[in-house]
Amino acid sequence: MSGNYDYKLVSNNISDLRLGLLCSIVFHFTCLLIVVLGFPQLLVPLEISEPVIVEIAQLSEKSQQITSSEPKLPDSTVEPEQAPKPSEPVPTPKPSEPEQPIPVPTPKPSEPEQPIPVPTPKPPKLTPANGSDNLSKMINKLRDNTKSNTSKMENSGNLSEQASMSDKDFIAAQFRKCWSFDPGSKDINNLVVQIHVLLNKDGSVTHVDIVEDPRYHSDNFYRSATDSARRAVLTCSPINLPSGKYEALKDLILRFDPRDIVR
Amino acid sequence: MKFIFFKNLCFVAISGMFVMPVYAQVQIDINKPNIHPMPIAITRFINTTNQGNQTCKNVPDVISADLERSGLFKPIDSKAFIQTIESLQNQPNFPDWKVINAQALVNGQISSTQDGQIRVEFNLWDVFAENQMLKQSYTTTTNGCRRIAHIIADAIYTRITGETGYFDTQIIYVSETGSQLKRIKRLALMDQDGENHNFLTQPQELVLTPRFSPTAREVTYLSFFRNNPQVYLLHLNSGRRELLGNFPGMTFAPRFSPDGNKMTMSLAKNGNTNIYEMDLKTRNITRLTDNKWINTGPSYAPDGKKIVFESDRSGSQQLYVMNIDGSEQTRISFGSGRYATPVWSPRGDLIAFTKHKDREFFIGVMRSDGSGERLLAKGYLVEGPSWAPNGRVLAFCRQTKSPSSQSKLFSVDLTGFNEKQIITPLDGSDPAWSPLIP
Amino acid sequence: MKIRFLCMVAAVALLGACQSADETVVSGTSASDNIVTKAPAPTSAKSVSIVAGSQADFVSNVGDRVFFEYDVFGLTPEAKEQLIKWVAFMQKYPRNNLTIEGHADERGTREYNLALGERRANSIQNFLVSHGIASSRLRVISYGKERPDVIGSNESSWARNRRGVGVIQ
Repeated sequence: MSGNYDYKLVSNNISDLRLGLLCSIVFHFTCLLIVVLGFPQLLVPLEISEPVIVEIAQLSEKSQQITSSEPKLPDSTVEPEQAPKPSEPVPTPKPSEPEQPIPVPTPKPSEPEQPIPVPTPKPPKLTPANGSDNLSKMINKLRDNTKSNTSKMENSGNLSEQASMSDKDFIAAQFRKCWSFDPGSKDINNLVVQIHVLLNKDGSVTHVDIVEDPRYHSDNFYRSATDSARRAVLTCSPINLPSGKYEALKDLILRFDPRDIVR
Repeated sequence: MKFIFFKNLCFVAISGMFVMPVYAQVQIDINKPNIHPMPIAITRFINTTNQGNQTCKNVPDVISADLERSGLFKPIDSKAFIQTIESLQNQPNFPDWKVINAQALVNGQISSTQDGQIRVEFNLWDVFAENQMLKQSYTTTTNGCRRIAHIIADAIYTRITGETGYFDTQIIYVSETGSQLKRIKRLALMDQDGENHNFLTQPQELVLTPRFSPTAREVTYLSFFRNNPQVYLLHLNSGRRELLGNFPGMTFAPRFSPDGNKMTMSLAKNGNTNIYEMDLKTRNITRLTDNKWINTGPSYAPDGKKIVFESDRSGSQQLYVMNIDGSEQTRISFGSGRYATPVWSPRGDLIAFTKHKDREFFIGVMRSDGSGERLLAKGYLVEGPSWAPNGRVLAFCRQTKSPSSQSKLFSVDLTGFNEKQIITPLDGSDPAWSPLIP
Repeated sequence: MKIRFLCMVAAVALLGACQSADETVVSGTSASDNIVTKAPAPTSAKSVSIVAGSQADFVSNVGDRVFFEYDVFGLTPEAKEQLIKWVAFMQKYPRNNLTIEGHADERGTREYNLALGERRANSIQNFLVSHGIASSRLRVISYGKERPDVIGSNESSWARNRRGVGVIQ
């Protein structure tokens, strides 16, 4: 059993080697070509392999649809048909009337309330809730903690402009502070929500929307988790950005994961 | 496949050599959220009724008290409000509310309708997202104000937490007074916040373990009427009560099925206690357990397909689950100590119980397969948990040591936080939470 | 007739005396958990004015209760010895019926204690029947932990509350 498997692996390796050789030849040939011909035509594969950017546009479009349609949810406006009587719990033996209907405030929709759309692209200028002293301490701490990791993990020459693990931790720590979650939510293991955030240079949130998930419209718990994540983002604005990292951090997908909530 | 690989390789090579770094979206994981009650601003409601300012004046206070009691909200003192209530009627000035860190805002209006009723309207705003989360209105008579307030509190709670509310509910319990040697116990019914308290039975009749039907209009309980402990059914609308069944021994520990058509209870006879089910229409009786042990405390799963109960067949009280026909009786509790009074959560995911271990009692929950046990409350004697209809909060009874023994009702959140006494005029035990009032 | 009435009054008064004696014990135990309570059965009361075959007679000359171990419904040797006297009493007064009450101490959940009380009362009933008392003369009722005999959250109080009590009908 395991012998077979090993054999397969070996044969794979061989074909990989061959492939590598082939690629190497092709690579060198390509380089030569570029030098000779310049590279305009070769930009084509570059476009193909940049689907991330395309996706961003889709995401924000879709999620804007969500937000604008949100107030149309069925619970927008209700009006009870009947006057709900006060709870009248005294069961003093009445002459048993034929089933007195209990006051049912059956809510029925009344004047369709014009939903106030939720375009949040105004940068809400807010004083940060946390003292900057604490923050700078935390920055240093986080830097210290993650320095060794980063140097091992990323050797690229562009390190200063890419978002490092410590940068991400630094951002995450700030949003975490603003995020409150109800630990009793049902099915807490299934309530990870993603929020798309665009930042200004000063760290204020310029745009926030919810990465589309159909559950937003069908699952109250999911909707509430999503709203709480969005509130966290907005309450936190502006956040502190690691210096020189704005370009790398201006476009974020925040993945709020409540599973390991401290109970 | 090879082609793709080739393409990728080319891309890596090229981008590495000639192209500036491309900033894609950065994904950041955020975990370990805080558990803070949400700051919420609940303003006075504008009153335009022709019946005076006092009409339904308490509505915001009742909403506020409900939400605060849940432990998930922290109402902000109205002294901190900046925007006036009057200008708020047009449109919230969100910065005014952000400054005082109100994450949600509630305002409303109380007006008269043409037919002399009162109309209560409210809005719920998400302050930081600057949008309206909810707008509803209700009409009522003057004495319906409290109830409307509970209904509004439920709506707010539901919109923000995702849970169904539980404020428009009642609690039935056993009111206790007098010497421990001859305790006077009466059924009493009150709103979930302790208001509208009423006694349902006479002092001379010993009663225990009331439970609501799914419509909240019937109650089943154990009465020692004429020194013959039997299960009774009380119709709250008419006040009529009836003896359930004609059993040859003591019946007790009754509970309704989720559809209200059946009832399960225990019968103790010849030293054995077994579980029976009664069809409330036909009054036919089915025996579900059949052994020489104590099998009691049956409670239906919310889908009505299973029953959890306690049995000492292993030598000590433990929890078991069986099918509705009594088949496949499976033990689910294996922790150390005794387990008793199981109650299936209306949400279906958990079973609450009383645990007795090392001279202490606990209220706890476990998943319906017995895993994930968590203890939420403990004491010299705590027992008899009952779920709020949303499966989020538990009511239970806490008795302190003699001689100054007191018995009081408490509620605790499913997370173990926010334990609070439920205030009753006298001592209390055996609380049972009603479903949402229909 | 008058005499009989007087007897009954006396019997009731005696019972009352017993009860108040119990209560003294109660306050004693509550003051300190370590005080060993006296034997619970009313001791050697004079049977001068007690109606033969009555509850008062049963209480003072036979002893109306037996005790159980914690969470146990089997009869102890002492309990069996006591129940032999019940049998004699029931045989002596064949027109009497007996209600057997089963009780539990407070350390248990309500429903379980109801079942346990029934088990205890049933143990007594079985013993009496096996010694020739017709089951038609016997009735069992469980009070669980609802009707303790003494107040106290300590071993001696619990021991006194885990009991079976005979009530002549």
